[in-house]
Amino acid sequence: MGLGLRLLPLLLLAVAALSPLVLAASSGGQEVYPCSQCHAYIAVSGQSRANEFHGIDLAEGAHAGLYCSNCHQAPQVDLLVGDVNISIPGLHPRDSLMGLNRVCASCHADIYADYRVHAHGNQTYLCNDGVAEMVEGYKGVGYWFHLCPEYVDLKVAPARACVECHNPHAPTMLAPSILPGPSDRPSPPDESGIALGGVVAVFVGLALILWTAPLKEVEQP
Amino acid sequence: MTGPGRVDGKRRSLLKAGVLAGISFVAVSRSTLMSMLKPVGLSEILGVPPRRETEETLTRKAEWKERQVKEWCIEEAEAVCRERGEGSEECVEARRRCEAVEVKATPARPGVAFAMALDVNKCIGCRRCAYACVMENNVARNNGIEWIKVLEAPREGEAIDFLKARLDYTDAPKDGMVYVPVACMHCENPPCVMACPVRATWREPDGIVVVDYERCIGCRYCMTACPYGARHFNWGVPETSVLELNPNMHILGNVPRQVHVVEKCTWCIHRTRDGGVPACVEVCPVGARVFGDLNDPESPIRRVLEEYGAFVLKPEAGTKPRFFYFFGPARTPPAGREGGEG
Repeated sequence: MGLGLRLLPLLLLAVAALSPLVLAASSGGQEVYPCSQCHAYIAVSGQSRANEFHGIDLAEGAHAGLYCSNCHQAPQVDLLVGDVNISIPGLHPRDSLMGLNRVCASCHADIYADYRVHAHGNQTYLCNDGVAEMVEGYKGVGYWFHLCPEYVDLKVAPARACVECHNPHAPTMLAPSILPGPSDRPSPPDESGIALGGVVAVFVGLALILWTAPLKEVEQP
Repeated sequence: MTGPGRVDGKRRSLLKAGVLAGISFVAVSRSTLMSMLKPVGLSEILGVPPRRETEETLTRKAEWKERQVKEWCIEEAEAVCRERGEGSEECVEARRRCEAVEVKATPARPGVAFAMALDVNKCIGCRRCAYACVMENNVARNNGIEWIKVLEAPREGEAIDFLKARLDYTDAPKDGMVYVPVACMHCENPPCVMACPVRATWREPDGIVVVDYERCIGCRYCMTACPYGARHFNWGVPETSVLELNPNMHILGNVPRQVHVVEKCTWCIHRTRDGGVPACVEVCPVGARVFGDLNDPESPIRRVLEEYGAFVLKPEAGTKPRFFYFFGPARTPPAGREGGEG
């Protein structure tokens, strides 16, 4: 047990490092560590705001002032309000993350109403048998292409679950990095050749006039 | 009292009458004035119906364009295969993309009026929309074209000081600044359409302003007419790698362009006409953009407009943009990065 507890932070670190990949892969996976595995022995009341072991401090952040019990049902901490189950972050399929939306909706009804009509958060589209594929493109920035057998009858859906953007224990979103600014249009083609050509043309023209002028004089009489 | 350079009573009253007539002319209702200012085309004088692509001609054009794009794509793919080797990943990918190329001519659905809104309180100026737009719309990588430009402007109370706006910021979000992405506003009254001498650009029934790249002569009048700088010109021969080609194309949208044509945002016509969402809406990491049908009471755009109200850029230009900005619900602003990269 002691070893398990000591290994847990390591496990959490590993999971945190993997989480971008996890979020990218929207299906498949398994649950890693049910909370009840420890909390069957460690009884908690839920009437606290900070937990050093889990690195959670509800004295700060946008959820400041809440108690653990506002979302977790003690003593089985993996049962959340709205009867949703949760385990320590692992390879969660998106469906289960979507299930967690109910927990957020129990307090943020107005935002959830916005989310339901796609007015909060991202939207994406779905097509039959389609896949999303990452391509490294413009200025080396990755982009997820939708590859569908046919691009007709597309359906709009929320792209992410609440917890994919907002950490429930510190819901304020962290701003992602800034991409480089726009480029200028390409510089115009080199025109020095054109200027040289102009000068040459003037000289050739003058030479032609001088050359033909005496001929005309001869022809006239 | 009359002398050289002075005005006598008769002339004075004549001038007064002239001024009065002028004022009364200007003071007529705005709509009357606008109808007077409407450009009169040959079609109206001769009684010929205005040019608009019919579904049939557009489909034919799309089929022809698809053959052309596929031909070009296969040529490029073969070059990739020669360079990287026949069995290489890039070769397979290039061929797969060429095969998947589909140029659509999906017409506007009747009764649809598209509009977009952007929450200025949410936008953090990360420019991901501009980058996604380039990829999704097969924009040339060599011409410095980005359809979406993000302005950083200081916020003073309820006002945004656009005189101090800049494009080349390198750090965001900053306190006291707002980020305003600007692209085509898909105006109800588009000055670019009026300016086009060859009718290569027009407003579709669902509100999307489109360009016919085959008809554009590259005179760039529309760019001068646009108050938002939303139109861009292909100064050089557009170059796009087939490995990054978006195979989902629309004839009036993201088909690869030729040199010396003007292009602009089409609200991802190849996605939205078939029920999808524009790429910028999908990619926004903070969900600041909302897109939908103004005529659908259940659409997200109706919800935000009814809930939060909206403003438009340069309302005095009289263009009636269909792109709205709004200050969404007050929220904890996205945390800035501390100590450099984070």
